[in-house]
Amino acid sequence: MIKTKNLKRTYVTDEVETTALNNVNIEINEGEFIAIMGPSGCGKSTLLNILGLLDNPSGGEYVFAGQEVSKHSERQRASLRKANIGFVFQSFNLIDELTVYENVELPLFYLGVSSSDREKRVTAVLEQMQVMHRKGHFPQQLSGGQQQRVAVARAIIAGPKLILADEPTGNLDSAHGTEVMKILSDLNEAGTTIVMVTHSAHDAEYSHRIINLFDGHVVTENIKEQARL
Amino acid sequence: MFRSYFNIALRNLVKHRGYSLITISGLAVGIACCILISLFVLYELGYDRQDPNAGRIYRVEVDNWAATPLAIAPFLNSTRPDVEEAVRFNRVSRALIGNEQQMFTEKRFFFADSTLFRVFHYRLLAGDPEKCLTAPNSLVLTQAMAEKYFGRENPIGKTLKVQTGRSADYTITGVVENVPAQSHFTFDFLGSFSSFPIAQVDEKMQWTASLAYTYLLARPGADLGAMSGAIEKIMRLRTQTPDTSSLAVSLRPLADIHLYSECEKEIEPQGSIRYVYILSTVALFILFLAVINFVNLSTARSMRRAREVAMRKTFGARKGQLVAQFIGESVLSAFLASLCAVGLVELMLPEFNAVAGINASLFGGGTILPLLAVLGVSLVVGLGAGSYPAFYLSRFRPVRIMRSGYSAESPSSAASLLRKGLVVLQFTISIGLIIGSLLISRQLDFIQTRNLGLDTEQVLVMPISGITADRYTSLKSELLKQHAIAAVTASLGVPGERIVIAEVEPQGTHEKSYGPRTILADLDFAEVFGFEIAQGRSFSRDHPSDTSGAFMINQKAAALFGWDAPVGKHIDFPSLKRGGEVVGVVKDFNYASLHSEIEPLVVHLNPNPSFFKYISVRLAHGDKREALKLVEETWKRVSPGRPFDYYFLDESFRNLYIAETRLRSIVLGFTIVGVFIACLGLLGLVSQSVVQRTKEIGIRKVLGASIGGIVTLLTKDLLKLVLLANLIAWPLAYYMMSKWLQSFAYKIDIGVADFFIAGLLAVVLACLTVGLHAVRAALANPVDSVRYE
Repeated sequence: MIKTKNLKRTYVTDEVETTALNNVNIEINEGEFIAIMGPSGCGKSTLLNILGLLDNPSGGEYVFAGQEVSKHSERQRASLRKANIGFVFQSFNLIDELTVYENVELPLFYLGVSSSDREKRVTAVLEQMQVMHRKGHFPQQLSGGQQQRVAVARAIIAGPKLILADEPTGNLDSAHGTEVMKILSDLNEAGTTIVMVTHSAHDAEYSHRIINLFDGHVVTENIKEQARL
Repeated sequence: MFRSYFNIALRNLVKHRGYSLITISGLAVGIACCILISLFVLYELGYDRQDPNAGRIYRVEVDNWAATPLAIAPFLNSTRPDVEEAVRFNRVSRALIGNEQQMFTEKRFFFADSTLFRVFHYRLLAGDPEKCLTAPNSLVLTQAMAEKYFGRENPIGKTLKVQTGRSADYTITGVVENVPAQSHFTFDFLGSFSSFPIAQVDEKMQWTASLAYTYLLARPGADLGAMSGAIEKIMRLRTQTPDTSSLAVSLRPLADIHLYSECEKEIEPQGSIRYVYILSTVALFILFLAVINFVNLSTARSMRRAREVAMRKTFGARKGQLVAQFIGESVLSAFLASLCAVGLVELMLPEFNAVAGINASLFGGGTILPLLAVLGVSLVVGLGAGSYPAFYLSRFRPVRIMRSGYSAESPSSAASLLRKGLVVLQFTISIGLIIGSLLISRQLDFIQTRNLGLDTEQVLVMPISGITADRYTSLKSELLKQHAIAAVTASLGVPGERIVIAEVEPQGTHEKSYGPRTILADLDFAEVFGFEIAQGRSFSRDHPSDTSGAFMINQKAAALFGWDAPVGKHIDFPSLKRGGEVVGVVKDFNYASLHSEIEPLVVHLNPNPSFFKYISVRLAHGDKREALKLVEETWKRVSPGRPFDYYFLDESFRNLYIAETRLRSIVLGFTIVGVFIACLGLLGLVSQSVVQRTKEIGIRKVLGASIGGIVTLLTKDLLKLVLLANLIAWPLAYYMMSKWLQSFAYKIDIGVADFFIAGLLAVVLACLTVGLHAVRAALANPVDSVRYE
């Protein structure tokens, strides 16, 4: 599903060039659950942004679902993204001005799904995430765990093939964290590919494979099939 | 989708109440000003357009006089096939009308030709338009006057006593609908021209004396150039004016009279297209100020919305969708602002109408046009103000925002520079308006307090419509018995009113005749008006020869005639068949508005009271009201049954500047509004900057910055912008105001002080606006602000 070749990303700010990713070659298959780990500043989030089609690499190739996308325009990326990728963030990133319902509805809205259809799907997902009773509330009125469940609901509402999660438990206590990891794990079992950036070895336990980054390089890939057995 | 945008927009408005209040109220005030000024402009532009013939009606003007000789209308009617009809009006500035018991002074009496109703579409409620102004001593009155004099009775066929110099009974032959207020002149009474007392003036006077206002209805496609050429030709022929002397005949379209005429002898004071332009500019400026606020505050608080943009984009929003969303929000704000503006306008309209001297209403027309216009304004302002923030916000890149929390803006970024530029522009406009208000006020004070060369205080003027010699003599002697009365005179023409031009023939000068302004006056004229005598003396009873014909002239007239020592020189007054010696020279005094230079003036002693139109009384210093009561009692005793009509000279001089006084009030009002809007914008900006710099402020305080230091940090950049605005505003304001001042013959010097005061005021207001917020931010506990991030 995902294949990168010599992926490179550099940032240029006022004469200083910083290399965030250097010659990253990874391959992720459909249905996998991948954890990306590494110290702060190693390029995890940069990699996630490129994989999520939020950013273009400075060099190298990126093949997503069989298409070479590294030179895609923002518009092309956006249309690919909204149909195929869901995002979960550490800080939830729910829109404060929208209710729970509207936050979850948002991706369908930009996909042009009809309003009756939207209602059905949002209701189903909210029930799945057990936040239906909170649908009229605004994000600030929810606990962290509830917010992240809403964020997950938003990520899966459009039925994406891939979910990218950037430290999904980073702002949660351990009980809520476990809850969210359980949800991601269930989604993966139902067939969704998951790529998760994390600092937590505990969370990484849920994955099939860990990609370790250091200073923009992939240093090791641990296959931990046994963990699932 | 639309509903969702609408919901979000509404929630955003409610959530950020303070910010919404600033943007919407600023915009509302701006739009309200714009609506008010538009009403004024539309009202002014709407003059004389009600008549279906308006496009074909022209007024004949000769040498920039609104009045023409009597003979022109008959000439046009008899010789010009391209003139469908011409009509004359002769104005009687004060007619006494009533019955045996009671007479009223009426100021809107005109003699009019019977052709009137063929030219103008005044609607007759009773009477025959073809006949009602034909017979001598016929009178047409307006509905209002019919009610005043006859109540509910039918006035047709009844009579009224009318005194317009001579006294006669007039028969009411018609009642006409009240003349609309948006007319360059309005009348209450129309007497048939055949009863005009000097309609039978001699042949030469018919062509020389400007006694009539002449209007013509041109046939479609008429050659106006040929028409005015023909009038000029016949006038030159009849008045024996050589081609070398100027004689300019022009035909002014009816609808242009109110705003474009700068003619002398207008029936009523007219508007000025210049003021329409000035106020339109001010309105646009103010709207612009409000729109700038909107743009600035929207972009300044964009960081608050950066995350929303990032999320929407992450989940698939296209740029166009975001632009639509943000523009939608600004249109909604503009719409709310427009609604508030309509409320404000309704609230302020009575006051504004009074100040502007108009009678406009927003929904008076019974059409939905104003509502559509308001919707249109919301749309235009919303689009105009919303597009830049919309494009700016929708450009945010999600990756960057998620990486750095929000799109941190460097002080040199395009948006920040634009914002600074707009603040400078706002303050440039505000400072310009302040300078304008200051100079307009100073000029008005200057002309109202300037030494005019005569003493306008304590002078009571009574306009009269002819008085017999006996009555005048007894009135004068009765009045002079009172201690409260210092001097009494009578005259044809007084300072502050229009003064006629007459032909005089001073002897021993290089030209045979001149046409200076001329006043016919009784003894004590100089004493009542307090002129200063430069040479010789004023008219005197001690010189019996004075009564057979003596002159006083002003210094300009002496210069015109080329006389160094005018006293003793002889002047002939051919139209009165009189002549006499110059007994004194008065120092030049301003007898008209300070828009015009002092002109040569000749005052001729003419003891025949039948000429006089004014009796003027100088009151001794003391209680003005007591003296007024005394004069009134005396008047009623001497002239029973005649209304006591009077005014104070200083008031009439003030009235010469109605237009300027209005301009001052309006510009002052809008300056306050403009400065208010600009300060509102500054307040919004500084509060945003405080939010953006909360962390910086906290860190600085942790590191030991003083409160003063923090306040300086937050205010100094904005103050620099205000100072820059001063530098830009000064030369622009100087240029504009010198142009305005050029319309005055006597004017103030534009001083450095005006600019400094305006600049200082702007700086102080900006400091107050910014300072309060800055102090609050500086006083906040640094622990909170560091944690806040």
